[in-house]
Amino acid sequence: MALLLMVYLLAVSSVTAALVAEEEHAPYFASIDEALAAASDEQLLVINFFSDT
Amino acid sequence: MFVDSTVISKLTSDWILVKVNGGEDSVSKKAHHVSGYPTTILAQKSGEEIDRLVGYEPPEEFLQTMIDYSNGIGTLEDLLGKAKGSEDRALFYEIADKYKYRGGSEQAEIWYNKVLATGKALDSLSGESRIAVADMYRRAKEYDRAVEAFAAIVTDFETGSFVQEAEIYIPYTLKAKGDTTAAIVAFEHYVENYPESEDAEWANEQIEKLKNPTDTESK
Repeated sequence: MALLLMVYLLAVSSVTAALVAEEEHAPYFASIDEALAAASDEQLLVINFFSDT
Repeated sequence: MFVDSTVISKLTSDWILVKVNGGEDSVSKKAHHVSGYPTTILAQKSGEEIDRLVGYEPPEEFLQTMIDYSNGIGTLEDLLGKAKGSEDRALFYEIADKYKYRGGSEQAEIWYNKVLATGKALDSLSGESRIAVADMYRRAKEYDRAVEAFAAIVTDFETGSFVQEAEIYIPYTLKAKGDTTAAIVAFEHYVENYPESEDAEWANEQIEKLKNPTDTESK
């Protein structure tokens, strides 16, 4: 029973952590073309190239 | 980079953010001459680049650099203006680096050569500039030219960190060229000269791989 409770709590905390991480991340576009289309003439684009490998 | 609350607040109010996975979007990566990660480019709506940051910076410094760039401070254009009539070699080097990161190899080489022409041949900025130029040849797949440039650094500097750096680049470049025999000899030379260095283990792994290529690697 204690083990089940621990697994449940771990699962809940993982989900919560994921949601917080999602909320804390700045909203961004995943494509330069989409961002260019959405930007006003005065707005600048900050394009971050990254690699997940 | 986009997860720090201070950065988020500033970025989302004034600018539009884009995250591009360079591993998946090779077209954008190539179009923007991205040669390392992370690379953050500040651009106008027209797509014209204002400037870029290569590598990691602490959130506050990152934000300040972006703000400066948006105000025209520290950009390539700004530095080029300051360089007029100047003999500031550190400034020349900074300009050269900016061109290099943008993929402007010819302009970068011109400015690295200005660094070399205006100071001592064997000082730190000259060493950094020569390594940078040789590495640009390597990245451009001009392997013979790169090896020649690295070898000249070894000859001219004789000892020290630039020699060590050049001596690990030589086998790495020879490997990229496909000259396995010469690469093995040069890696072995490096391990012999710098057995305690950080790269010695990696060099030994490279020797092992070159001597015993797997089926995939040998194809």
